[in-house]
Amino acid sequence: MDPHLFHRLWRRPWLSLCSLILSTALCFLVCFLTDYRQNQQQELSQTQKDFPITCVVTDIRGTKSTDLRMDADLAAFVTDGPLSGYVRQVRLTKRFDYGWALMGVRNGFASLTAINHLDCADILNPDRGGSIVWLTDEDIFQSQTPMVIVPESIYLRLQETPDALTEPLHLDITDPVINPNTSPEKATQTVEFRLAGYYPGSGWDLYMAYDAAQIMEGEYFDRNTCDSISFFAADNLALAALSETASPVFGAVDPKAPPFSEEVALTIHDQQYRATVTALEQNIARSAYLLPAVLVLSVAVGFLLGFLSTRSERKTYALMRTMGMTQNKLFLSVLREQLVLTVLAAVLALVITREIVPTAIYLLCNTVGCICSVMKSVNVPPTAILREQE
Amino acid sequence: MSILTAENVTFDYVNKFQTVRAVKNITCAFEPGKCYAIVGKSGSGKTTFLSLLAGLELPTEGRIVFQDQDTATRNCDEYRRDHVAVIYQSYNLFPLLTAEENVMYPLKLKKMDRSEAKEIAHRQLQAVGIAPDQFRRYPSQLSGGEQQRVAIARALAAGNAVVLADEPTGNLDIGNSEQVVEILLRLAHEEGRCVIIITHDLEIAALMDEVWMMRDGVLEQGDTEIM
Repeated sequence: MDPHLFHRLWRRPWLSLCSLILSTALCFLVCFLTDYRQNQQQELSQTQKDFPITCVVTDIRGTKSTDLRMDADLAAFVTDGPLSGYVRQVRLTKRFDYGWALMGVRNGFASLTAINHLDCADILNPDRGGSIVWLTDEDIFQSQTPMVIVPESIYLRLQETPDALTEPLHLDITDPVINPNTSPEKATQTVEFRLAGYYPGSGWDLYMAYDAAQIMEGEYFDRNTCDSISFFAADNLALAALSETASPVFGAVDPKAPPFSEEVALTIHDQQYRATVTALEQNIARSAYLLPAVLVLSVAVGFLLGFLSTRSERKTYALMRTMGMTQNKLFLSVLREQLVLTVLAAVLALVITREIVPTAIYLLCNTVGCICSVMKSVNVPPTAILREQE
Repeated sequence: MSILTAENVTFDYVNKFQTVRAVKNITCAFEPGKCYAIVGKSGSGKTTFLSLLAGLELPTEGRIVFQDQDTATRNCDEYRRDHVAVIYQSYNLFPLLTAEENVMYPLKLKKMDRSEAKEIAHRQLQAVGIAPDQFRRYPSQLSGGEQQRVAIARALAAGNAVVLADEPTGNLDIGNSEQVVEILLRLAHEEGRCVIIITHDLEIAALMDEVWMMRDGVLEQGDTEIM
């Protein structure tokens, strides 16, 4: 082994240390960019798969109101019709007004909301901080019997009222879409409810199952309507197809009526999704050209560090050649010396990051740079030693 | 009997602008056990001729023959490693190696065992007057004369038959110069090596066994008595 090996590293510590730090930092950067790109791609895939894009059915005026002409048929179109392949977790709501003599609630004063899923009401949704204390084992969303969820304040009052918890609850229901002036006989109906449970809170807002509400509405009011229909897109990558399929479906709010508007009554709230996807795609694009740039920089740094380390050694190399060292042996000797720091930097980066492939790629690039610089540096004729003297 | 001969040697420096003939048709022979001096002005071609003798370059015309073999047909790296040693005006020691390591270097090139190389290095260093407490010093910690003596020890350590010295006393004072010349003469007369010195110091040249004059690339035998 050439006795000159390691001598320069050991006896020029600052140059060696700076080279080591720079090489290690560069290797870290390669590992980071590779990891970053992979993470962004995974996140993009995940976003395209799972990001909840809310699609809301509105009336032709583009707003939700009690004048919506949405009914059970329209809901069926969403859940079972041409759109069914594009929808996930359909949420249906319907609001009634009620009066409750037992609680002293004036007729039509408070609201009873029918929902088909706990996601429809944040106050009931455990994922949004809500909760329910169930008083029945029966799943109210599968039952056709009207069952109601009350605020805890009402539940406590019922507890104090004799037999209130065991007897059916009689509520005077009013369907807001019915005009009491034109249909006074259907304006208010008294309906028996069972108590299903209660939620923490006070006030007069009650909740019931949507299917049971549809039966109740059909039986008592001879109607089937809903206030809102919304759903998550089942496939975020198929939003264009969803929109295209929705156009003929929602050309009229009431599919039984002839289309009288070309407005699409479906609003796809994908702005945040698109912004997120765009940001991720931009990050991926940036890393796509940043990573090769850093690899090229690795080659350049390998060359530069090798050049800085060997540029002052031209005379030494010429001297070695005059003593009979072969060109190949000189090349390998100098290359070995240059690669010590590169390999050490790669090992350090590997121990910390545990990224084998990026470290190997960095090592390869830096080695290429080293080889080029060493080839240039050791290509010294032996006579250079004599010319150095002159 | 000659160990090293030059037969009609010519050397041209060629670049895209001009061709310069530095050495013109030189024929001469060098024998072991003798000390030669080649004198001449700067630019006369002495160093170029030395580089040809050392195998650093090959002649444009003619040939350099060492032990009956043309250097052009030899492996030049092997020739420089095993048969020729060069001493330079500016010492040219490895700055990052100690005196001992410098002398051991040519022996390591010959793949000699480390302990044996060390022993030879110590012997050679003492032979040129370097004290043992200086063996582990770096060149920057030695005087000019000591550095040149370490360079001589390095040149001698491999035991090469031909020793070429290019202005070995050029950077030394009178005292050190005399010591160096004494060592070189001893090499030739006592160890039987062929020592060739390039110099423009006529006083040193006068001490040599034979003197050659280099003038405009032409080598002529000089007269030591006239000098």
